[in-house]
Amino acid sequence: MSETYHNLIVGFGSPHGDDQSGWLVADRLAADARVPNGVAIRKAAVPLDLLDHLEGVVCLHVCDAVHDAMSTGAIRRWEWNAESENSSLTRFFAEFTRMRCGGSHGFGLMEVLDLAAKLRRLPQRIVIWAVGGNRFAAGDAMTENIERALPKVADAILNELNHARAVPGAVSASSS
Amino acid sequence: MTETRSIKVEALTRVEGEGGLHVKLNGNVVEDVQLSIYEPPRFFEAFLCDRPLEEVPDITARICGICPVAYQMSAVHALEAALGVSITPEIRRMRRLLYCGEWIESHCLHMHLLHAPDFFGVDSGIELAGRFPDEVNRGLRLKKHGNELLEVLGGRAIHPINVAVGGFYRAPKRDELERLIPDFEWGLDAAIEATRWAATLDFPDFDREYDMVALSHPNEYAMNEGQVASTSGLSIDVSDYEREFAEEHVSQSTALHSVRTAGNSCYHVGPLARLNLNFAQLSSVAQRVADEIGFVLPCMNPFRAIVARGLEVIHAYDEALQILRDYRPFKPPRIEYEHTAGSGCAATEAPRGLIYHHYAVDKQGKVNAAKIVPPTSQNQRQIEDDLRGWLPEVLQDDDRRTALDCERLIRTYDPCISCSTHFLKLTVERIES
Repeated sequence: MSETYHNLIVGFGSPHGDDQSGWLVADRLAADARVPNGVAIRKAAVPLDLLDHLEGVVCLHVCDAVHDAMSTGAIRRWEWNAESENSSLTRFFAEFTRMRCGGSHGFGLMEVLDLAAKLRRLPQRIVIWAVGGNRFAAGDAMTENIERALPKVADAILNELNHARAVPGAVSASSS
Repeated sequence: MTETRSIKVEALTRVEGEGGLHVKLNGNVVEDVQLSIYEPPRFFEAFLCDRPLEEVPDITARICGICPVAYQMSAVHALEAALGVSITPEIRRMRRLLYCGEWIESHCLHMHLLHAPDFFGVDSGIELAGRFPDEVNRGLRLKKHGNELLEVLGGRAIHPINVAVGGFYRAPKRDELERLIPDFEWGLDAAIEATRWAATLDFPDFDREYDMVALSHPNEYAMNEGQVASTSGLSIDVSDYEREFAEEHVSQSTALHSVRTAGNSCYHVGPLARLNLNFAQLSSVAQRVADEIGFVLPCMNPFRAIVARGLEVIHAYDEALQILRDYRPFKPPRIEYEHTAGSGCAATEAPRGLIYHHYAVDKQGKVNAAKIVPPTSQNQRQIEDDLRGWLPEVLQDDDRRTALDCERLIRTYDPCISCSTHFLKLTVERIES
């Protein structure tokens, strides 16, 4: 039953407000014929679901909305690569302590990646795309400038998948 | 002088939702225990009113990301009772298969990442994974099988969308279910190993006199149908549930507390209740494992619920395998019905215990009234009562240690606070007099 693939994109979210960001990016990519073969696209409600999809994955792209830590509609990118000389997971995780991503049962994205590392299931490369959000309550509409930002995230992921870009230093953060 | 103190757990970990616990002690005497659930109420019952009854399974599935099937199953059975709809044996089997998926997914998450860490003195499932990577990996693989079943039958693992009043919107194709068989064959063996592992844990000696309540059915391990039964001898039709059980508002909680109307007493729902009442209907392979590991019934020790969950996972794999192997696509996937005014109720067995739904609908097919009683609401008062018995056993000068021991007990119930309203803060208050 289980399929294996080397590249995995997971959008985290819910149907509510700016929390839809990860799902909408996943939907956009799933409908894009330019996505190369061997890429799986999944939507997940809670970070723990990520563990269901990591088997055989070499490169993981995660897209999620974050509260408070970023201005609304801002996009940030982090990358960790096991083969980099500077591949400290601790440092990578520390980048997220300031971020408020959602989770369940005390398992946020950072905890799930930490768990995957303990279970030796962490992909070789992880790229996290965070979108700053403001509205997260049930039934909220999405903030307009986030709606405008999401195609940029999808295009950036697509660009990386199609150009298999050279991996930069282990922990890098960029924002737009 | 007697010292009165208050112990507070600001945030109970490894439970779903947000709440707190406040314990007030006078010397070593427990004066008060309050499970205070402060997560804002979610008003799902009010949302449902005036909406088409066909929307109820999809809306109620949103109450919980871990046990959406329980909400869907209870909703469709209650609405079918209101409409006078009888489902076919094939639809009934598919619903049991869907529930097997949810029990596997929910129980395996709780056993391996939420409950097991308490037996090894570690703070989290992450720490446990560092010490027992093979066991945790096995548990997560089992959990994944449950999600895959939900995805195939329910259309997706998160908040399934294929459940309809009268059946399913679409019956699965044979090859979609056949593909799952090899994983479920592996899973049955792995579930047996996981349960053997759970049985070796060091359980505190804490037997209670519980009134345990669960559905009970003469011919099957009850999931979707049966009488509401209790270890104290109750056996009633689900339609009499509201006569025997009532909900009360308490000031410290946005979730209602459930009690037995006779005696205003607390009761216990969940896998231990199901096993104590329905062991004879458990699959033979799960019964054999229970005998092998020395699981003695009646079992009234809440800490052993981790073993009960393991036995239910074995049952769920065994039953799911039989259904998967025998499956033939069926028609119609959904029984047609006419909108008629009426009311109906149903109870099913969520992973955490009995869940009750009651709806009134009008002849336009709109919901006029809805009542939803989730398992965690029913267990709240029992948890408080357990803590009154547990605190004298674990009370220490170090309030932090005491609070951790209280959390351990609470987690045996796998409480889903989000469901009940919907992290717990524990405070212990010591009074000096």
